[in-house]
Amino acid sequence: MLRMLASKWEVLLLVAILIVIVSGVGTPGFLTAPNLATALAAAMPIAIMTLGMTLVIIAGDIDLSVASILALSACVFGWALTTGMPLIPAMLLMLLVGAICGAFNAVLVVLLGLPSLVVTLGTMTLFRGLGFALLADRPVSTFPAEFLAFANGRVEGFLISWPFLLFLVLSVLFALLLQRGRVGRQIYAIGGNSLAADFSGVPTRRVRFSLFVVSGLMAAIAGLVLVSFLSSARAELARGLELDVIAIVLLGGVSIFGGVGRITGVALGLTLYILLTNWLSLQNVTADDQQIVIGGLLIAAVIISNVLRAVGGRSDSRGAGLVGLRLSYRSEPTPPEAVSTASAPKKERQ
Amino acid sequence: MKLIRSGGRGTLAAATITTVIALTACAQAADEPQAADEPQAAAAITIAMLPKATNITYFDPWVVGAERAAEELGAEVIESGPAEVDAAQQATFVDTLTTQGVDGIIISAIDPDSIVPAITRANEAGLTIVSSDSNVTSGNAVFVNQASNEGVAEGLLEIISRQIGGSGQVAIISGAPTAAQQNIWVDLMTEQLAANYPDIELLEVVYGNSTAETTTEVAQALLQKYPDIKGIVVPDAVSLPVTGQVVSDAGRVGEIAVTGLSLPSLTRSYVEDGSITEFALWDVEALGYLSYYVTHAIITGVISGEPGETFTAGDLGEYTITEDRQVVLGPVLVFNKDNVANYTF
Repeated sequence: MLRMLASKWEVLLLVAILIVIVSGVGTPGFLTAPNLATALAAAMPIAIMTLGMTLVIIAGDIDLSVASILALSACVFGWALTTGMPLIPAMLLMLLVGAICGAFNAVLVVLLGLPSLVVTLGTMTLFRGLGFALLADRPVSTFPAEFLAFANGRVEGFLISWPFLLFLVLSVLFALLLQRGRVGRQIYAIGGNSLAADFSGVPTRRVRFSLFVVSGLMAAIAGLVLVSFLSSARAELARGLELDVIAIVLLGGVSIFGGVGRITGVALGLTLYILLTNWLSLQNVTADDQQIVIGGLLIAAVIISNVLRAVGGRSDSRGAGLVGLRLSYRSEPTPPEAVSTASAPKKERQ
Repeated sequence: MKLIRSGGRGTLAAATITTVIALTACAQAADEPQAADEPQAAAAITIAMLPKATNITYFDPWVVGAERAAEELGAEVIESGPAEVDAAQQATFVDTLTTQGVDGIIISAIDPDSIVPAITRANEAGLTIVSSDSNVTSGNAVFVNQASNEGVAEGLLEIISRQIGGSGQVAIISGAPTAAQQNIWVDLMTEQLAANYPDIELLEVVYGNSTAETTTEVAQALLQKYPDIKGIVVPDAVSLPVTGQVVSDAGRVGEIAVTGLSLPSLTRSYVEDGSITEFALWDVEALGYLSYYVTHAIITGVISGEPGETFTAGDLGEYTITEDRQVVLGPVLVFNKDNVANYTF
């Protein structure tokens, strides 16, 4: 039943995507390969960040600092290149910076027990500030041609870009990790009820710590893509993008309270977002009006998903209610070691 | 319960199948009208105006000027652009316009570098790109410059020097630290101050990011940090009225002179209440008008954008493309209490 609830949400997203596509049939240029390829390529930095964010939110935390980690790691990358560091070491350094930023968040949230909302609100400003301090008003805009070809070129013989291929590989890995593996079950358990997960032997702190590091790393990878796409490394990069990332994750059916959501849903939410904004732009809908549409869509998504869950809760889990639903959600049959003490409705395991 | 469940699964499967079929049908249907549409596109020339952000008032008359030119030329204009000053978003809009198959784009670039890959894609698709108001690093046919840079810098320094009596401390509040055009003016003002105004001390150059919030912060910080500050030069349309407001709120009208570049419509009330005595700007509507004419001339093959070529820009008269592939609109206009009400933009 719970699996079906998630599927229902995904079907709704699919229908919404379909509506956009059907509406777009008459829009010149919309359903053409070059347009869709370019729209996809441009959205890849956001897309890559949604992967890390999905895990963090399902585990019951949030990471508002992703766009700032992107900017800081991009600044370090640009700065490293100007000091004469070769391309590959500079790229590795950039990824390391992303992971360190994530670890810094994790230390404050997991080890010191501070709320992730507040911590990452702080580091959101801190990391971007460090980026400004490093590059000031001297953006780096000269890069080796092979680096620029990474996000602007296409995979030989295909229309898709390298970053899109990278995203596909990463999202399959993330989906397997979350929806098929033991770590995934632990993440759901932590997001459902962290205390119960703790008692049942889930290494809560270690998992949460790793997720912040993964989120930081994804932000740095997204930074690599964005710097290559724009041919520019600067501290203003991706300002405000964290909100788009979170909006897409929530649109994809991930609960802001943790414990619920799937990578497949987020991928559909992302597809809807990309197609809708691209189509609206081609219809000459101004960016301001697009924000109204996206905001309205998000509100509608939250309302509909809550209604769906409430209906599902009444018909199937017999009084377990919303909390019970959240605790017991997973795509696999309940493994004994993961949530045996969580108050999952018994019916789910039959 | 069981019945409902299996019913649910059935519906689900049906929905999925319908979706897949519809998707396939769509993809096929999409190809056909596409091909039929293409020859039509060549009929009327369409040029897009791509400002830094659609909600910056400064660009309204810029678009109005282009609309007037398009009407005279029997061509089309569309306005496009990001909601916020975001270089990545602006690049996406260049891609969107390329897909839409417009003939040309007139762009005021947020960031001269990060727009280049998108402009390159547009050039490859056969579009003509003209930068206007704020230049790009490469890929543009010509740059339509609002005023000679030296003229702007000199004009602003002349005003501030007159207002503070030729000596004292001044600061500059510019837009975003990456705005190419503003950086050129700031650099020129810094050089000219050092060379020609020995008694004026430049304290600091700060950035208001073309937003009211940041400008308020940096302007308040300047007043607190430098109690003896006598003048603030603000070469940014959004930041100038905000700075006037900050000085007025601090009760220091008359002690601190504020001047810069902005729109008469945004700055009029501050000129009328005395917190700003004089400020400068070019005719933004004429800038949009001229930009449209030169882009149209290049697209229709009247000129190719080479230095030395001349063309006629409607009622503005004849213009020549300069050595560095620019078209310069003309001298700056100075606004004060007496004339500020005469301009509608």
